[in-house]
Amino acid sequence: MSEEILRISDLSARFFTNEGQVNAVSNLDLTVERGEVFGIVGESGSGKSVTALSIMDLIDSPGEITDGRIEYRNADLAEAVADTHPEAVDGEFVDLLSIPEDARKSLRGSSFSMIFQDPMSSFNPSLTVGEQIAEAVEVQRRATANPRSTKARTKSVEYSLSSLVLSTVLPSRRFVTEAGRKRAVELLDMVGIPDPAQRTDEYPHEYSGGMLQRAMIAQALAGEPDVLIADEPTTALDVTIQAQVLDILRDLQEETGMTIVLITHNLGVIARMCDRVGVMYAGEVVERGTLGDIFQRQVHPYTAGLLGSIPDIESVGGRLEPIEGNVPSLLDHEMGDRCYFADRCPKAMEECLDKPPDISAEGSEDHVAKCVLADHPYDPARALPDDHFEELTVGQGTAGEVADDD
Amino acid sequence: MTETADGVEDREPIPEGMPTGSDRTADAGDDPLVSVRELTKYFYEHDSLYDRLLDRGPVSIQAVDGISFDIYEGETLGLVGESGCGKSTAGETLLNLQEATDGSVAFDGESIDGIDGSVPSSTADPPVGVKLSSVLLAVLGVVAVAGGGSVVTAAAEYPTWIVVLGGAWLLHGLASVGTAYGLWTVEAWGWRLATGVAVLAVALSLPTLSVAGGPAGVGVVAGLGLFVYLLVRRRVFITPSEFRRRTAIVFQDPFSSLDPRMTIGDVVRQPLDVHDVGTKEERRERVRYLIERVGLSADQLDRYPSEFSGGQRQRIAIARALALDPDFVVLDEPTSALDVSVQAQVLNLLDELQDEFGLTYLLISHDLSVIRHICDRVAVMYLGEIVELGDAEDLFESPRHPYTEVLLDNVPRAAMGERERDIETLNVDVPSPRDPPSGCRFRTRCPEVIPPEDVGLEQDQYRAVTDLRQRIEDREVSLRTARQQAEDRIVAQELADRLLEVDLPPNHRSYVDEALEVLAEGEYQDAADHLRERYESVCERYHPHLGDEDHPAACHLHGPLPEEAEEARPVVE
Repeated sequence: MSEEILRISDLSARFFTNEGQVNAVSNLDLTVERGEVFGIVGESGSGKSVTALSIMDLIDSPGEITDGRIEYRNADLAEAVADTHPEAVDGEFVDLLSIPEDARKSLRGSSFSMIFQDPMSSFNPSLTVGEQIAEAVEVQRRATANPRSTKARTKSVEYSLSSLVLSTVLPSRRFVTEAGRKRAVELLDMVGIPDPAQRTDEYPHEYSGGMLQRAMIAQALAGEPDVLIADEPTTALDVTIQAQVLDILRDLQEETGMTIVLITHNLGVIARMCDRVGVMYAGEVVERGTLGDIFQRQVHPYTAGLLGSIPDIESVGGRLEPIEGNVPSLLDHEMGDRCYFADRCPKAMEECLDKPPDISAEGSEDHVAKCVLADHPYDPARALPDDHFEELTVGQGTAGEVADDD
Repeated sequence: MTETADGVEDREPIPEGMPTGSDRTADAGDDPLVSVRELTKYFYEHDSLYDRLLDRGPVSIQAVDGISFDIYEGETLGLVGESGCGKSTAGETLLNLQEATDGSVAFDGESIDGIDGSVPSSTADPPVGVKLSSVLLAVLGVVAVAGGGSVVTAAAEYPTWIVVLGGAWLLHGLASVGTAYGLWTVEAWGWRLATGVAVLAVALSLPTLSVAGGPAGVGVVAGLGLFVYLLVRRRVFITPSEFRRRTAIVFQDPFSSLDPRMTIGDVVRQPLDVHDVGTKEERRERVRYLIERVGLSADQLDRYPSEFSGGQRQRIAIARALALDPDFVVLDEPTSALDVSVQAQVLNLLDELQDEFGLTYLLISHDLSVIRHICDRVAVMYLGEIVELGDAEDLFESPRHPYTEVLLDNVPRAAMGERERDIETLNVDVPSPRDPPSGCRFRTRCPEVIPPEDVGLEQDQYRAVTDLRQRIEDREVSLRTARQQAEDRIVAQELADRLLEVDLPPNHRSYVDEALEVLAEGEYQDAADHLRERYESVCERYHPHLGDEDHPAACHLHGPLPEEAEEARPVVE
């Protein structure tokens, strides 16, 4: 089972904004194995969504993937591009960033699929849910029938007045076929929507939030993807609905054996769903490993801080132990060349002023932390003085103000 | 309390001293700081003049439906529930930020104006006389304005007292026409309109006045006007109540609850200005102290909210809430917009401030872990009602209401072994508060509905049948789709295949099939009645009330079932 399906190395994504260059993701390394649920956890602004969008190739201007490789294991694809782009192929792996746009697009839906946080805004309110799922089914059908052309897939999906009139007069012009509709009913049934035959003809506003999220999962499954990327799939939902949706994701994963990359800020969701976890902070994966590595043998003080910040529902604790300070700015000129967490870290030492490498830590063989503590224990004698970063922060404040004035 | 119908109008008032879920009531002399009785807030849809012209009746959304609880000095009461259960509305209504539909709130023993149990004027239908006269007067008013100077000149012919009285009558009519006819619900708008007309009338009559009283007359009128304007500007006519000074609220979203055009110093100082507390110097000192107390630096006072992060903004909002040294603070989801690490900082801060300032909190949250962490007592809300109320420790360790059990069960724990934990999930969505279920409101989702005694079905089989009936009652089953799908088979058969997901014992199956045959003919009501006859639950017929023990739960599983002889609320209108 432990066969790697996705190998991300040295990935950097930058956004070029008016305030300056934002390093949303920098030098990120990750591997995802086939058939597992890989969790990415982090606070807002830690770069977890940008990582997901990079895999899907959905980063848009002013953002750009500036560096790195995203390698995806697919023997067929490797064979197809071996002649034209030999530099992209490495055994069965293909680097998605060096193959042409068309080939990347053809992977969406059939290889990678994504579900988003807010189901209410992810559906078109003027089309029935069934039609929107059938549309995805039809795109996939055409993709399999005619893999070379990406244009033919969405031909005649136009929601203009003329196409509406035309398709009413000529049923053959309709994009969504009867077979597609049947498949949509099956998909809705798969995600546990009661009475799917009737529900396909309803509009998104007739669905509740939890049902729409399930419908979105159904839509993502239309192409039977290898990897499903779920970006905060339950954040907008109530706990009872969250439990339903997680249950369905887990059942589907067991049934189809697909790989899920689950992005969330909720450590409880991680604990419920994931096999392996990557903890992100300031655009980097600061620690990764199995569930046990992260929850029981964590090395990085940030991981420990996250775990210490959540109130426990099982028992009444005393004070929480939050991480002091705020999430750092990701503006390029404000990021020093050091461990980005050092200014909030209770165990910052002199060596933290250099960028720490990935160091493998105690636990499973996958357990890696970007922290010197994985190498040697905390030494109070070498601790940084408490006010070490204060001057820097003041300096940054003025720099920020100057930027604002511009 | 009797188990009679539970409509608002015929609900029995709870006696003043009735305990609501705390042993503390037993201690004499320990009176609650806030005492909420039967607080109700309905919102109305289709309630405009246009809807009335089309003869559409208003639809009520029962956001908060008769909740009662006490909050004692120094404690933190948690109000928890899913989105849409009315917890935020409850918080706002008890602070009188929303006009209560019914019920009363007593703060420190004194009842609060506007929420004292009297029915506010806007929900009562005005008498026909008022309606008629207000319209007549409004029309006259419009004519007067349109006529302009000539009307004023004509009015000058009459004795002064007739003009003054007539004018006042006219203005009063104008002010009340809006609310009387449902053009708008805010009474103040009518008065603003009337004031505008009055100012216009005085302006138009200035020439006449100048003829009558000369320039001196104009000067006197203008001077008086300016004086009144200055008084209004200085808020002399608005005396903020003691209740407002002693209560405060922190809102969920720190990005929209701070005015982006005010510096944070001004934001925190504003309550002091409004209530006219202390001298300028004292106010400045207080603001500096508060800002530093919540963990920001006093040299940031001249910055704008946009320069702060979410957690820092929430600290500013907390400083503002504490400006007047209140006794009672409503915290409406204070940390749900924040990241976990920042959430922990804010929770710790709230904890410290409670001890330091002697605060009493009402914490509204959907996050059960947060509730457990800082609350002394907890009230669980579902569809506008409190279903369970008890000490936090008790409620989390041994929940009594099935809804509380499910809620607690569904929270994912951040711990190893979570993957293997069995969770009971609810497969039905929350019903609409426009038309809440009869009897117990949770019965449509409850995993422990009480079946009729002689039915002999498993809970999931019984649930399947009641779900089916619910869908028939809601007319959610499309016969058109069924007929298309059935093709040459029997429609009732197709319906059964599609709608029944569990196998039933033969005798029940044939009974359900009978109902589906009726349904296939298009007789929704008869099909539903047929099913109800045999499968109606006690949870559906009787509304469970929150008892008066220490840890009450509004559920028929606890306490005696109501007498069968009692009149039930009609299920379907």
